[in-house]
Amino acid sequence: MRSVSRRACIIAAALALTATGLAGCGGGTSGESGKTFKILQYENASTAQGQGWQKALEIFKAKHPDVKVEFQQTSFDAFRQNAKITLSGNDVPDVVEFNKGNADGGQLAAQGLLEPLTDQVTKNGWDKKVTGSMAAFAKYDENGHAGTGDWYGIPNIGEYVMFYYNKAKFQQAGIAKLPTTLAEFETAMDKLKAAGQIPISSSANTSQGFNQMWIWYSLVSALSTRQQIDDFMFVKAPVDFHSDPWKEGAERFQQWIDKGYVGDKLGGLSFEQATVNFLSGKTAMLIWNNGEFARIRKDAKFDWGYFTLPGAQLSMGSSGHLWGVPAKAKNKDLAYDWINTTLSPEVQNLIGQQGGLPLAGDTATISDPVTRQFTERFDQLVKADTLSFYPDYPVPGFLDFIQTHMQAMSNRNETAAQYLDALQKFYDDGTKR
Amino acid sequence: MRRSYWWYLLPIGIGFTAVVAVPFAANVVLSFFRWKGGIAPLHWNGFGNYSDLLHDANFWLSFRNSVFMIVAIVVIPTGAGILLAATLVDYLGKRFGARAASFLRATYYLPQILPIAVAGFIWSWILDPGSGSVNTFLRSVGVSDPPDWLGSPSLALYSVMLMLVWLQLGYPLVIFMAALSRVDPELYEAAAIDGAGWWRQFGAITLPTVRPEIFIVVLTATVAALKVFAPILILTGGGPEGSTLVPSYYAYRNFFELSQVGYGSTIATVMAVVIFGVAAVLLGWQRRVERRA
Repeated sequence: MRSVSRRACIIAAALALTATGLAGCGGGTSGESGKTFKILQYENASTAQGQGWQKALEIFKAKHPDVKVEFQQTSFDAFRQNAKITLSGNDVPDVVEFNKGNADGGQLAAQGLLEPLTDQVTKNGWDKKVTGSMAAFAKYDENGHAGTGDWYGIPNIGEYVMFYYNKAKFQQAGIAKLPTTLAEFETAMDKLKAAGQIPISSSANTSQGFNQMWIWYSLVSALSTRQQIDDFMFVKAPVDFHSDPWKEGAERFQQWIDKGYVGDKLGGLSFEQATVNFLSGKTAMLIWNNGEFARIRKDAKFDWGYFTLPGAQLSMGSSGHLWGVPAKAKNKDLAYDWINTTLSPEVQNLIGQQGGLPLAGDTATISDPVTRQFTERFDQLVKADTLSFYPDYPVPGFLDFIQTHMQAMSNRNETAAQYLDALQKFYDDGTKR
Repeated sequence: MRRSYWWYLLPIGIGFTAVVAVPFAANVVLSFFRWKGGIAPLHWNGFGNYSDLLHDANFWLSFRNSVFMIVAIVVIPTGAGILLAATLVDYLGKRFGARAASFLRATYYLPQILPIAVAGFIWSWILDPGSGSVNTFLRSVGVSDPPDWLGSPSLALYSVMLMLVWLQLGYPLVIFMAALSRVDPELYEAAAIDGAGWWRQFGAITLPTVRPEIFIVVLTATVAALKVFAPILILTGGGPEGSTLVPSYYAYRNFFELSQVGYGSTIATVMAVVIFGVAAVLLGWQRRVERRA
């Protein structure tokens, strides 16, 4: 018995020591928390936005020399999937980058995980810099629906979807000038087909195969009014997917698949593979947003250009991802100052110089003519209020759902009518939930 | 005296309680609620989630796909592993020396030490319908329209299975080769002198020798097959058209994509019960066979 109690004492002592050690560690961290400012974000440092934020970091550190700044890197997918866990813990970052839309930002806002920013927006004049459709996905109501309610996030940049094209392939196919209407665009694609080209590089993998979804939604947007898109996006009024623009958009999309405008065997391809196929000269066009502008500029070994879908009433695009302040953040004032810094002219104009489509930059200060022209096109779209956002924003799980049906249509296992039936049910169920 | 040994179990007991028992209990409790996650309110749902699960075609599809995962992770690698181990030890080892056999064993084991994300990306490029090496090879031998391995709903499940076989094969092989090193080589020589051919020796000496290891491999691999996740996430994301959906991925999708945490917990709870059940049956079977032997 004596040996048992001695062992028990040793184990108990070891456990007590461990527990004391852990308690010591915890105490130490909490004592320093006032001086450590944690930024959690997922932009690559080599992107325009990433470079802008490095500049913001310099400015911020100079303004707050006593604060230890932790600039933490994560990935879009990792944060998207772990956001609820990260933000509901006790040791949360002070400012985070998050994805917009009812499925992401809306959920976080409705669950009380993000701090409402409306007072700060007015106080700091952020609403003067982030306006119109660029502000639409910064606000969420108590159900997590975008468009109205408190501000929960602040974007720095914008996005728009375009067709990058290979000029040599257009010439070989006898396309003398760029199409200006949807019908002309289809004629151009017929010419490319006749010349043995795959007109558009696309993809429809469940994982990261977004191109088909963007083609479909670009067609819907092209045929939509502002009101129709807003009803769908902000769940303002019931949407009948069996009427136009949804019906014609889906049917036209199916015709594009059947006519071979987008190539075939897309179900296993990701957007990265679609981009590589365009860059390696296997396809004449690539549908993507400004995210690949810098890469195509650097890596394309051919003369290229870009245009938004010709004849479209609205074009796909939105604000970029948002800065938010976790409800449990310990240094909220510093977080507001960080957001202010990222919206400062110095940071915004640097983002603009790098082709990053800043929301509060001065396009006239962009010295490179190609980048300036590209940014001017974005400014035009924002000014005309013709950006139609991304289709997966309104309902949680929509991205997965749309992707699955894009695969089915691309594999010719589903018709446009069947897709619209499924879409109606998913949207209605999801927006009622 | 025996009572004193219980103290040695204390650390693992604490670890098990903190890492397995408490989260599992929390998971079971959550399965009775509707919950969006975060600090959203919990809504009592009784057995509602379980009743929904019974009528959920996606869940049953994922369950059916688990059977295919068992074929790819348990049946084929275990069968092929025994044959390969026997070939490497009996034939190649004797002919080309133990170092050659060790080298080959290491090459089969290599996929096991590769990070799953790397292995997944390698296979997604190999199976790329356009420029992947499989289709490039098929085109070079005259196949004009090679298949879309990961994009076709009728093929993707088999493509994933192929990758899983490749990934898994090294594990039973290494275990069976270690087991076969227990056999006295004279036994094979004596059997050969008595006129037993390779297959006869395989059935009479090799198989009975590795029987305990077969149980271990079948048990661990079956559990792995029932909770397979990462290869699906990386290769297909459950697609195309849901054809490669498996229960753990479906639970994950409900947790993170659809914000239906309660329903995700229900799937996880049901799968945990299934895995406990299957493990208990396999252990019982092993004990019965051992007792008979």
